[in-house]
Amino acid sequence: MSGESLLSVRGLVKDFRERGFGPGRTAVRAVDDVSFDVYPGETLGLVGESGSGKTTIGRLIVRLEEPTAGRIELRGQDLRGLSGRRSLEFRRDVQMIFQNTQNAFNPRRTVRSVLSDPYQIHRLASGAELEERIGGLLRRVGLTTPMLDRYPQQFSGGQRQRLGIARALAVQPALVVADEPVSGLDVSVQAQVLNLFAELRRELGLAMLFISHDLRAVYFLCERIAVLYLGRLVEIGPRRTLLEDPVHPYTRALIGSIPAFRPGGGFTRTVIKGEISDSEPVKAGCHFAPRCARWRELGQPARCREERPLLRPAAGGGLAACHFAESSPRPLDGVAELAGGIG
Amino acid sequence: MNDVKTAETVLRVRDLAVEFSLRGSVARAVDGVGFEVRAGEIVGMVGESGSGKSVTMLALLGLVPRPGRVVAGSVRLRDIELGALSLRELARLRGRQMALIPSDAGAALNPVTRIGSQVGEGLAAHLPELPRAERPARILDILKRVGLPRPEQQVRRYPHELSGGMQQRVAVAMGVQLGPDLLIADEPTTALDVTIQAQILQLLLDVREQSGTSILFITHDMTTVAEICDRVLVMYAGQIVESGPVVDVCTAPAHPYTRALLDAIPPLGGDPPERLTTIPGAPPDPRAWPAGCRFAERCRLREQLGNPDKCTSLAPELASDGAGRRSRCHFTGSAAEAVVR
Amino acid sequence: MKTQVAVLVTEPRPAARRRVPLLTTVGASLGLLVLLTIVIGPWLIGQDPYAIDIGNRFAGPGGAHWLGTDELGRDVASRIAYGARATALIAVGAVAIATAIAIPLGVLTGFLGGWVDLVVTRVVDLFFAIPSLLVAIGVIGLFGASVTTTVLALGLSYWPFYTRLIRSAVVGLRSRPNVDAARVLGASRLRVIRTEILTGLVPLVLVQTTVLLGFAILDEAALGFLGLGVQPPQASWGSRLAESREFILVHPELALVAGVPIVLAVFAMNLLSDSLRDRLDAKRTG
Repeated sequence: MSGESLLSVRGLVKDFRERGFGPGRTAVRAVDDVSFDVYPGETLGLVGESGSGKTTIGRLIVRLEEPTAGRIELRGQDLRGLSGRRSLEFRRDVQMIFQNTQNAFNPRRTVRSVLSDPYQIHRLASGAELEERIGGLLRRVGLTTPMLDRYPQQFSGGQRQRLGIARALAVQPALVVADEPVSGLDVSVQAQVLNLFAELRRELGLAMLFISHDLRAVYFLCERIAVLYLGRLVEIGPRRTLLEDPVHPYTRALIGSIPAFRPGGGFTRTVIKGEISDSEPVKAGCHFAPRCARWRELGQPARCREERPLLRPAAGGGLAACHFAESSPRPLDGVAELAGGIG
Repeated sequence: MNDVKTAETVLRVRDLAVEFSLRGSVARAVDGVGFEVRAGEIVGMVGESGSGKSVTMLALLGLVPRPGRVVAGSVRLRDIELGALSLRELARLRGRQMALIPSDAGAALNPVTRIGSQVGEGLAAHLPELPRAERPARILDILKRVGLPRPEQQVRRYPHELSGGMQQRVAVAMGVQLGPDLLIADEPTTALDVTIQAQILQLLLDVREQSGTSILFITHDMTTVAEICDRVLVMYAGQIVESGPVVDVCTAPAHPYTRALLDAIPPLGGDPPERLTTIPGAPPDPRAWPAGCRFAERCRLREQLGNPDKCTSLAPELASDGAGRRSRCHFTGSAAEAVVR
Repeated sequence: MKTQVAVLVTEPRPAARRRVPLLTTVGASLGLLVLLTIVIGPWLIGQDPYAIDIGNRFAGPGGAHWLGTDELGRDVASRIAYGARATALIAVGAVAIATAIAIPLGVLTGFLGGWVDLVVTRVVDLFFAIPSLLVAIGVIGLFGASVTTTVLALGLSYWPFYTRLIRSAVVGLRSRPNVDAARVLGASRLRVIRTEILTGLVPLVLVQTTVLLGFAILDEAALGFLGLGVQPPQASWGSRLAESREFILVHPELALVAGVPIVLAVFAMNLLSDSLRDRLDAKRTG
């Protein structure tokens, strides 16, 4: 994971204020000092439960939201305050695939009209060439040209997600942010869409930020996985390390709560007590501490409640934000660099 | 639940058929479904959208929406034939002997009624003999049993003030409070985060353990079925295509559809495969089920066998192997299958 | 729990003819009748609505006068038919004015949000607080009663509520993922409004147009009845109502004949708006 990063996120913070005007409104910190990189051609998985901030991070990267603090750089260029023309160029570089809902498409526009958007906005094609390119795009994602005159709601969930992929790929982006693209799909359809992602990535050299709560889908598609808890990045690392040798207690609990497919093995999931919403997060310390099994094992050390744990290199080539995680004595080069960047 | 095999039958469904008439065409969404649920058993009903699992569930509850109607079959709960009941009797039965845990508790709970009153409504309707003064204690008791944190505070809250996991716990409480024989759990964890999913599944297992309640667990997720169910029914295109003990079905599926469904689960651990196994095509149109096997068009086994005519000309029966497994495939367990594997 | 059913219902439907609900048929027939009255009614009846024939006052139906004559011996049928033209003109004009104000203003405030929304919405609320009849009377008091002022008066009394309706619809549409998708593709605000917002407003505007047409017909009649609308001798449904009022005790049939077309037209508009709503909703989900 060395070399120039395509996307670099540093110290990203996003506060959401309560609706209304004037003072006295509390702000909710949805994303709390998050840093990571996505390298060219790489797929990074972003996992976490509701309230983890994963969707907000995706929206910040595609600039649907403005960050409260922190930098997002694409090929070393800061994305804040891009002028109109540069901003349009950025839109060609970074695209988004939305969660499969009917609302991802305007029900009153045909597929032809929807897929013409990217070509018209960026003046890439018109007339016969437009028609040809839309057709090619549709075939590329496994749909057929007669479907062009249908409306999105006449498609099945899987087909509609293919349309969403086609819309995002039209401008040939370098990075695609996919927000829960396979949730809500049937298992067999989900497999088809995941295969399509894998194919496109191989053929087009796409880099992807794959946001999902489904660890199986993430494991299949993503070389590296980042785990979020209450707006903070708690662990990031290569998929096998993260799954087979997780360091952070939350990652362990999360992985333990996924059903392991072992027929006859019975119910073996780890059941962590409580819910994210149960406790007010301790701003100063570790957000997970109140639910952390390790914290209780260690006799509830004060440090967890008082000092925010920073991402540190961990065994297996990853990074973890836990005071009591076993750290690796010799961090890998790229990782050390990243860790330094965050420091 | 070791004695499940000899336990008495709680639910017996025979030849159930449900039709929807839409704009002149008739869709037989459920077509000859039959199965049993025994006391203390958790039976998984698995299928993708359009398989008929949800309509089957609605038919069991007597809640098939218009323009659908049950056109054939029998549903017996203990010794009560549900088809013979009046709407009123059926309503009395629901909640008391048979209860539903909905997939989206947030939507199923009444948004303008406090949690306590909502749980109490069931008591008032089904247990009028219970003195009014004893209701609050009873409500707190049941909420405690489903592990709702700080129940004394929650009873005064409205559903939207609770998290998804807590709402689902309330739904479970409302389902189990009258000690029903059968709980129908309709994708009860689909909308929840994994850590909360684990909590709710644990809760269902506890309910079964403590009260011996039978559970019909409706889901699209084979991995959950594998860990909590005793037996599984696999549905495809309005029919049961395979049923049997979970371990057998999951480790050695008899029907090609079951096999395909299991193969489509992305593996966790090791080096991931280049591509996942998928099922080509889409399920058939319920308004015109194919004459032969409904899975034939998408079946890998049929392809490997050189597309025998039998698959498309003759509808396979749901054949039993005599040891509690059933499969709807002409070539299940045949020598041919052994060869292609 | 609903998935299964939804899937069944949303199967891509073939070209099979959809059964038209009875009420839609009734509404459309009535609407067509009104339209025919406006377009060919006067020609069909062939009577001059302004020809006074004092010797033939209050004549019963029959002969050349299908619906009899009024207090001045004028042909009632042709006065209704010509009146329909004036009333329709007023209704369409009023709705056009309200729509022309409401759509841009509603889209602007709903889409932009922020202080623009805050300021404009308060101003709209201010107008909203004035009873619409008062607005109408004010306009008429200022400019005098005529077809033009009636159009203006009604149009100005409808726009505040219509603007609020459009605004709230736009607020809903703005937060849909398809708008996010367009923004991520780099669409300008104007383009997003054109491709995602305005298209989404089509059903609402269609339904509201029919509803408002019904209101306008009714309000024109009310203003006419109060003597504030179209002034006699010019024919309109409202002025016809005002004229017949004076003789309601002696010749109630005149008031009846004046009232029935109004009831039928408004009824037709309400039925049509209902069936439009049903149809468009079905299309949205199906």
